[in-house]
Amino acid sequence: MSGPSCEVPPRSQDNVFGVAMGVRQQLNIQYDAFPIAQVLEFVMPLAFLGFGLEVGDFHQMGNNHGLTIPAENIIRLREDVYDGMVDGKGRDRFTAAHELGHYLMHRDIPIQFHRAENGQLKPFRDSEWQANRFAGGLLMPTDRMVQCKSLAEVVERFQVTRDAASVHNSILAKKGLMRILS
Amino acid sequence: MFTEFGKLLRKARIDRGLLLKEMAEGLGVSSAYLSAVETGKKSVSDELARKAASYLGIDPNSSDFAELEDAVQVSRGQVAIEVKGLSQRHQETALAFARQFGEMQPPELDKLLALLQKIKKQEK
Repeated sequence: MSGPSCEVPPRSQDNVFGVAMGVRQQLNIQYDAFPIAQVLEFVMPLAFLGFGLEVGDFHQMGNNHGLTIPAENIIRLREDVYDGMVDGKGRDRFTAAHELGHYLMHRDIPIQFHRAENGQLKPFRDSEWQANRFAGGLLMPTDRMVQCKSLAEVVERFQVTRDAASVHNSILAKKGLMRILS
Repeated sequence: MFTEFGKLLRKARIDRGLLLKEMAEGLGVSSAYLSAVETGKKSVSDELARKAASYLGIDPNSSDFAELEDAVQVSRGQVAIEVKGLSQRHQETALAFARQFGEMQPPELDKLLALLQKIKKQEK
């Protein structure tokens, strides 16, 4: 999930949340926990010709939890991350959703390496920031998130980590859509 | 062209609504290993190919099974024969050749080669 950021065309937070909500709506998902494994393995190859989800071993992937490779039309997850995603582990589900965000938002844009002397990359133009916001919005849709009364409820309903729940709660609280949960 | 074994396997798995992890566990291999087989990065033993076919419920007497077996052979040897658009006789001959090739003895290979060279000469 980490690694160097690429400069991408700017997207506001609301724009990224809109992309995520669009995925839920198009797939007509009417429940809390987003079926990220089924979407990556079964839906994506139908929606995008030639797309494949691959699983790589530690030797091949090293510290990379996930990679999106537009030139090969694939998302590749490290084995432990893939298995964790299928088993419903919050951190791994978030990584997979993050990669899906890269694929949907960034696969067709020409890469721009960001030079440090140009100053820090603005979040709206940062590929990693966009992919993280996408994952948050996909896994914790606003309309369902605002019903939650505690972080534990968010964790339980959406199969996310407490950290991810807390970050997304703060974002929606800042927008005045819900209170800060504990 | 024959379809590569890995691609056939992936299609059969997805058609049955099985996740990589589910099938990997069913075959007693890791998710990464099965993924590498599907993408053609790892070749597969006859035993695993048979196990996979049986796990997917592919009848050993069906044409799907024969296709899978052919694909295993081709994906190992990397020999491809274009049969698309040719007659069924051509296709049968190509498949028979692919199946028998390994068992052919030098005298038989010599005969076959002589036959092929004769055809080539006649075309000139």
